[in-house]
Amino acid sequence: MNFVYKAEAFTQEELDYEYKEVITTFYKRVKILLHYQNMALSNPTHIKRLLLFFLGFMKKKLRT
Amino acid sequence: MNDIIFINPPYEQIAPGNDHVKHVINRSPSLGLLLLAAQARKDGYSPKIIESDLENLSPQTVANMVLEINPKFVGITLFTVGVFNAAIIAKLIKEKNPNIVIMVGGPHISSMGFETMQKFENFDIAALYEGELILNKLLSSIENNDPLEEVQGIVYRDENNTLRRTPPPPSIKDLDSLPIPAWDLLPNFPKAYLPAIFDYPRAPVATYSASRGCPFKCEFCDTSTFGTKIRYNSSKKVHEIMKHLSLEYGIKHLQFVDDLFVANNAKVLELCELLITDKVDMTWSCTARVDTVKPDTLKKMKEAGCWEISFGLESGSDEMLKNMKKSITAEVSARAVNWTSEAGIRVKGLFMLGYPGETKESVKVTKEFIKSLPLTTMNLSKFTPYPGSQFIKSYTEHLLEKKIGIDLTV
Ligand code: B12
Repeated sequence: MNFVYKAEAFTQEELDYEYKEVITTFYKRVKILLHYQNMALSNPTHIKRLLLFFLGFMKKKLRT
Repeated sequence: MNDIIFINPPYEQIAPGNDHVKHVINRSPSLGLLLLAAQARKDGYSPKIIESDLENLSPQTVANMVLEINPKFVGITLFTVGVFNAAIIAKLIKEKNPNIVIMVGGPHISSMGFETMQKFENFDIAALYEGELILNKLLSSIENNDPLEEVQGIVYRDENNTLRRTPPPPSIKDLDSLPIPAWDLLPNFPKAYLPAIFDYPRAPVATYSASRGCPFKCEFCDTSTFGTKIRYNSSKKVHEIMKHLSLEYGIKHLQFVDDLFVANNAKVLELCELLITDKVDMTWSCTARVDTVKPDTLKKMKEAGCWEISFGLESGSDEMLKNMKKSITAEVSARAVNWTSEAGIRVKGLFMLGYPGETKESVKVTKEFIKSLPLTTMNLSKFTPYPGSQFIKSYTEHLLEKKIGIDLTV
């Protein structure tokens, strides 16, 4: 991650935490998750890429 | 045999063990290199393009490929994030074959060309600003042994190894005169070059820029390559390129990567009319500012195939927007996002976290703002100061003094 500037009001950990918070605020909502599920199902390249991603992820999990 | 090789150096620093991420991130090629390769071919050269990350190549492998082909020239494109790997490639090439002329260009060079040449002795010539005409003049000057001081827009080493900088060239006024990007040089194009997952409705996908430049003065943005005066392709040319991509490569979606695609509503409407009357089977996405879009234009854009617009919304806090010199307010942002969504176009909101002045309160305001908008995608970056931005010009000393930034100047 390009971490080269830290706003004065935050520690680096706090900023990392807020980063995750803002992302989840948006993406962890039913209507957004449904939207992406529909998108994935409507496009073969999305499905293929997601599968490859999850396969790689599972391999990593099994290794560690 | 290739006499000039263009290289996009490895950038992505995916943490070890996380290779699976490669399947979902952006895999589009450098449009700059496609245009430069097309220009070189027009000038009689036989170019090759190496996309290091997309072909999974290390600096060593890239250098070996170059040494094997043994071209006269190498041209490396540079975002700031690619400088160190590019320097490694140049060193490995020069160690084995010092006769290959290594040129660098791109956004990092447009803003830090001189300093980069000072730091990295294996780069022979740096080309600042937009590169097509500079490349044309530079190659012919080297071939004919003409003095390099006559080539505008470069930094070079003279016979005493002293760095010399030539004055900037005039910007390219007639974008239609530029060659069509050399997509045919990319191995396995378009199949192997998808943008990030969910960034397109249909594949295959290509990128194109229908204008250059942006007059706005957002403090974090680097406009040193294309400048502040906007120049446009004619709508006819853009329509022709879209037809070409559709007929030659079966492209189904086009991403316009202009600094600011919706700068002039009349221009956009003209292109939309062409796309409505002479249909191309292609959807497209583009960039706009929240204060440049209008409801009627948005409706026409939808009719002409527009799928998604990216807006730099940055923050929900007016105080933060002011700090960034964005010259918009959250209210104007919300209005534009709603108009776009009502027109049936998806909205990607680009946000930034941790700009100077950011507080826990302003982050809270941004979170609420994000939830209140009909966005379909949200991208968040932690603020990173880049050379060429007004921020760096104003604050570098302050950053280094306080040791809260790393030195990005090389
Ligand atoms: C599309 C895009 C992307 C795509 C890249 C796709 C790709 N493979 O190129 C994606 C989304 C991946 C991306 C990511 C990032 N991007 Co970006 N991106 C752009 C954008 C909007 C368009 C690029 C483009 O195609 N331009 C059109 C072509 C024709 O221009 P060009 O590539 O600059 O090439 C011309 C000249 O530079 C010159 N030239 C270039 N190379 C060479 C080489 C030689 C030898 C010569 C002679 C000339 C020359 O000639 C070319 C033709 O005129 C630009 C803004 C802009 N308008 O340029 C930002 C921009 C390049 N991105 C920027 C940044 C900061 C990033 C990120 C670091 C963001 C982040 N925090 O993660 C990442 C890093 C990328 C990475 N690989 O890790 C900054 C770069 C600033 C800097 N100093 O490095 C820019 C300028 C935005 C800005 N205004 O601040 N980006």
